[in-house]
Amino acid sequence: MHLRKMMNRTVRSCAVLGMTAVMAWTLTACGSGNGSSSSDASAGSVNEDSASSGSTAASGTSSAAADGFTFTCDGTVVEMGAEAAPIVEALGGDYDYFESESCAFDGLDKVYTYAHFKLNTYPVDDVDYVLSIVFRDDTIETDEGITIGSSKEEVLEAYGDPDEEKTASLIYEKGDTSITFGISGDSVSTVTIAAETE
Amino acid sequence: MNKNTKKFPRWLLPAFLTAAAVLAILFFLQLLFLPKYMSDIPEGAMVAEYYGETTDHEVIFVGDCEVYENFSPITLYENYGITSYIRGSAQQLAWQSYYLLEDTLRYETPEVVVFNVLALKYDEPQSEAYNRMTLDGMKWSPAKIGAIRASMTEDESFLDYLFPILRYHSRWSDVSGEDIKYLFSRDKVSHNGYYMRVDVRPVDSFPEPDVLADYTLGSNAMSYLDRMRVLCEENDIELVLVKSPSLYPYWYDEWDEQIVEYAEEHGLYYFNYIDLADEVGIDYSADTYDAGLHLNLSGAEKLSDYFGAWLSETFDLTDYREDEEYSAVYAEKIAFYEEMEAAQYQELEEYGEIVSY
Repeated sequence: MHLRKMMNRTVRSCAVLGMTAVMAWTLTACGSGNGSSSSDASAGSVNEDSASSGSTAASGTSSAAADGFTFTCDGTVVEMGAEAAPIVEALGGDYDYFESESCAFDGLDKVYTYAHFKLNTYPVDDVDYVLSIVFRDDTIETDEGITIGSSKEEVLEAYGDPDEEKTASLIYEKGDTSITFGISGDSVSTVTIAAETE
Repeated sequence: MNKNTKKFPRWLLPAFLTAAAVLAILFFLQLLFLPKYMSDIPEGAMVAEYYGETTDHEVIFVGDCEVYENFSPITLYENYGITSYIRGSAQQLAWQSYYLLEDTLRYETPEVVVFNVLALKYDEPQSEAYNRMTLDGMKWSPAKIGAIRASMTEDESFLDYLFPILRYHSRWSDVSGEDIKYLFSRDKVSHNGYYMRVDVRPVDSFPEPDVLADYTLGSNAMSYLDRMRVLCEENDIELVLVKSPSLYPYWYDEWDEQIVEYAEEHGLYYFNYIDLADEVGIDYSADTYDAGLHLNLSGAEKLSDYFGAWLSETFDLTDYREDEEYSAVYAEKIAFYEEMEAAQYQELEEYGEIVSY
């Protein structure tokens, strides 16, 4: 008799607590699913949804880097992490195009090679986003006025102390973007502006 | 009856059973929500597949897609009797290869380990999605813990790896029939770690390589190459370095020089198969399925045949074609290999492209 009572109580409490746990978990799941924070996006969703470079951050917004470093070419502002198609259209058709399958994920990594810079994209859900701008020569400049050939001192004046300094590069971070200046001797040898896709 | 005998409180058993029930539910949900990597992104299932092997391997490959898409262990067995396995996954970083090697040594000690050097271009953790494809499939061990700690990006947490449900619970709305079907077991997707593709997309052209600020391979990545070398030395294993003949992403001469120097310094073999592509017989108009990034079956078989000949001549490897147990196991593997090859050609004929692999 005592045992039966105890078993009944056990079954009832199991059912109640189990249901409570599952409901609590489900509510949490719903909350996460609707959240805007990039960290709420599950890697499972990322995989399922095909983020190429595995980008949880960039997949969440059309321009993950609206408050980050940008690049301006003939009045067209290129935001890192922004949808690529309108930007490519605005930049005009004079480019070489290359595409390669994203390793393991669906979609294509694309490279648009313009006369003075390269624009790289990554795919999320069949939409391409700007991954990076790589300078090809010294005829273009960053929005802060730095070109290939600028001195290291000019970089420090324009950008301040770098977030990271390596043997041959200065790295600045802003929002979900970074700008990397390769330094050879005392002058800038490379410029790369990129979206942080993780 | 002794009145002083301690009794368990009445609430203890119900509480224990309740906790067990909740844990069982959560465990079930975790299994349900984990990505299965079956019909979509099969590369994510390859690391776990190793644990189903019933026979040992004398050659272990570690690395990224440049090993698991470019070397065919079945060809190595068919042509030379070499038993091999590829412990590779997409964008597998140097530290992940190191820990997968550590993990492999828990089960067997090969004669030769082959590491593809492209991953040394990455010096820092890159992407959670790729991390997951390598790490989720590893069995729990100190090697897996080390791999997770070395691989996590800033936004990742160790707890999410320990309890994957914390990461994957938002897949609840994406659960499909595949999640049910593969709840407790998965289909085989690889051939001893090799990912097969039979289609052809010839090499066209590539964008010019970026000028880099610094061509020095990162110290973190190189430290894991060094740890791999030491681990091999401690276990009396020959370490062979290769750069497979994928043409893109670029493998800079400056990087190559550093590997040549490292190999010379430590008495290791190193082969850059981009330079040897003609000798191997790679025809980039027919032997790649994605315009030069990876080899297709034809290219992988050519490379494996060439490499297998060198392995056989250089090391004292056993010809397992003469072994009854191994030949029975490999008969099944070869049948699966040929079956998948035929199925892919069938799809090419039917749809003009590979749709299921």
